[in-house]
Amino acid sequence: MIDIEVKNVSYQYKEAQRLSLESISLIIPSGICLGLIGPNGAGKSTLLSILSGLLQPSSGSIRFSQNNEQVVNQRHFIQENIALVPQEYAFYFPLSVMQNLEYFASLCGYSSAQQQSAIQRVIQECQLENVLTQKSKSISGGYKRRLNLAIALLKDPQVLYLDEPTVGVDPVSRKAILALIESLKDQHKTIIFTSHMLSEIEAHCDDIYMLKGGKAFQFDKIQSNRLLKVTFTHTLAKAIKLKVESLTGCHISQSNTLECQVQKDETLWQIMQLLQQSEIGIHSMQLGQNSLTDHYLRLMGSHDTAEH
Amino acid sequence: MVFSDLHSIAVLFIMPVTFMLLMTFAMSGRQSDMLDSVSIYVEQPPQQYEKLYVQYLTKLGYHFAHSSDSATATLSFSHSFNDNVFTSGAKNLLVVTFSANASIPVQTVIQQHLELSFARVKLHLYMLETEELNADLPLEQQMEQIVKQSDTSELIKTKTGSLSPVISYSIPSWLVFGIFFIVLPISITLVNERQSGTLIRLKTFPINMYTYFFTKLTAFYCISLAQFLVLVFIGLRLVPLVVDSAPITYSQILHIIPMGLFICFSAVCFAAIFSALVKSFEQAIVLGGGVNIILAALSGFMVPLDVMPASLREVAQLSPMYWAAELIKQNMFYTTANNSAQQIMLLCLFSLASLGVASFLFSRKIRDVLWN
Repeated sequence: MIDIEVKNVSYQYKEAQRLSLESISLIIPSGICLGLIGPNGAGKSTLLSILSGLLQPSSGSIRFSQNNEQVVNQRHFIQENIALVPQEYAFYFPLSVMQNLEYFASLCGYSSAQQQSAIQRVIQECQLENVLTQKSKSISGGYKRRLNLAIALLKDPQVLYLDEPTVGVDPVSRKAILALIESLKDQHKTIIFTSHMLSEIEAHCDDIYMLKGGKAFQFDKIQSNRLLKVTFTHTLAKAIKLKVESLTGCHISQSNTLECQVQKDETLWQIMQLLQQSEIGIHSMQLGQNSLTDHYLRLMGSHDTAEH
Repeated sequence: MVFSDLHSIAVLFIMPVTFMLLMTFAMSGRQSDMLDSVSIYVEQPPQQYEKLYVQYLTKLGYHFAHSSDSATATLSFSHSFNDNVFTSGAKNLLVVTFSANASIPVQTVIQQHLELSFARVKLHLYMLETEELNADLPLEQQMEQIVKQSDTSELIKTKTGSLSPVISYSIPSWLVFGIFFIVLPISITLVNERQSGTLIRLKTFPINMYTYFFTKLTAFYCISLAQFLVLVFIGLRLVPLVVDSAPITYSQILHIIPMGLFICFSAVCFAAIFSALVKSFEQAIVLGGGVNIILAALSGFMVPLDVMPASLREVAQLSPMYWAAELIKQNMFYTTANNSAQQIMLLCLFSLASLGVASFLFSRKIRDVLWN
């Protein structure tokens, strides 16, 4: 059981004028699947580099705990327990799928029998049986992604960093990769998953952080995603307009439409009370789940969620 | 992996063999072949002794052009040529103008032949005056007698080895050139690993990155040794047959093979510097390939050292490619007087220094590898 605690981590590249990461704090409990989203250049790669021990934070700290005991030798710990799946195909194209697995397995410090067992395990998990003898450069994009993942799983890591694991693959391979991620979750492995496919993040991650301008924002999947949309029979009077807009997360999107991000149940009752007092005719009222994409775009500063 | 990569095979085997064949064949031409492409233009129609001079040149194998535009050299006789050719201390009796296309070796040969023809004309006139040459003989016979009198080739005995000098010069040079091109496969492999994220992945595997780097270099050292053996066999056994020269004996090859251990070691260590330095394929090709070509030029592979200025000859002595080629040459004609030990020591020192620099650069490279 491995917990990761990121505490006030900041990082600034030598040539950069501003911080790439600014006082980030997050706790990643063992067995969780954490989604990391954000625009390009937001600091996701920097955070992953720090979590992999490739970069040392400019300030703050990363703490790994195994069975509630703090890890002392982090470098050794990372090499033993953490695996990366880069977005690129990080293996040797001239070698066959089997040769790649054998090569990387030979670097894990296993005995010959352990090597064979690890190879057989990942072949089965990633469903690579049909392409074992084929040159890695000639297999399909979906199989390349699976091989990329299989190599990371060879050392049976407790923590797995996945960088866009389904980018550029066909629906069948995507389904297989996502099913594999689910099975890894069932094995209580900790997964940190970055993707621009927000629906995948929403469906498979237990916790979601968005990085923007070097800062991390946590999404509360259930509470934060409720959207109340009320359409009135008439244009709202100015006095009522001011009152409803004074409520947190509410705005008049059209002259007769009110939209509210409802974070708490009390806010919902407050809005209802206000509408009752104003005695205005209501044409329709909807309370629905706001998708992660809507929420992401709103946080990114886009107001035109209707288009998406 | 290297053997399944066509580009690596081309760089390590096909390119050096092509160079060996082309350059050996290009250098194997004799002087008579060279004169076939040389022509001379005489500006004014030759008179009296000038005619004799031109005939001596013809006897040397020159043919004459109809205009100066197509000639390698243009001859212009002085008006006082006929009066002063036999006068001691006379100057500028002949002006020669070389075309811009005439190479330095061709100019040198023409210059020597012009002087030889002068000497023969003077001897001809002298022997006619002293009546040692029968003036009644046809001119052709007189000239033959003069040529025979002035032929000193019998006085000098040239001792050359059993091997053609072209082979002994050209093959070691292009062999070493090919061996040092291991820089491209090594650099490109590391660039590939960096760009594909494999290096990041390896960094999180339970291995020491230095162990990984040196293991990789060892693998390339084995490839380089295999390349050396193939190139030695092709260069010293097959290429001589193509250029109609005696191939080197197997016992001579046995002397050369151990030298491959040092030559390949230095090539791989030198290549390690570039592999740790470059960040892209373009850099690998420009830096790795470019530095190799410059070193080859400095080492006298492209222009023979003995026609280079003294300062460049001294620079060549500092080149590892030169040391490697000398090591092969010395062991082709194995004698007790050869100084292989000195070349081996220089190559080993160079290799260790290169390895030190490569390790330092690799540690920086690994430190800077980040998640893309």
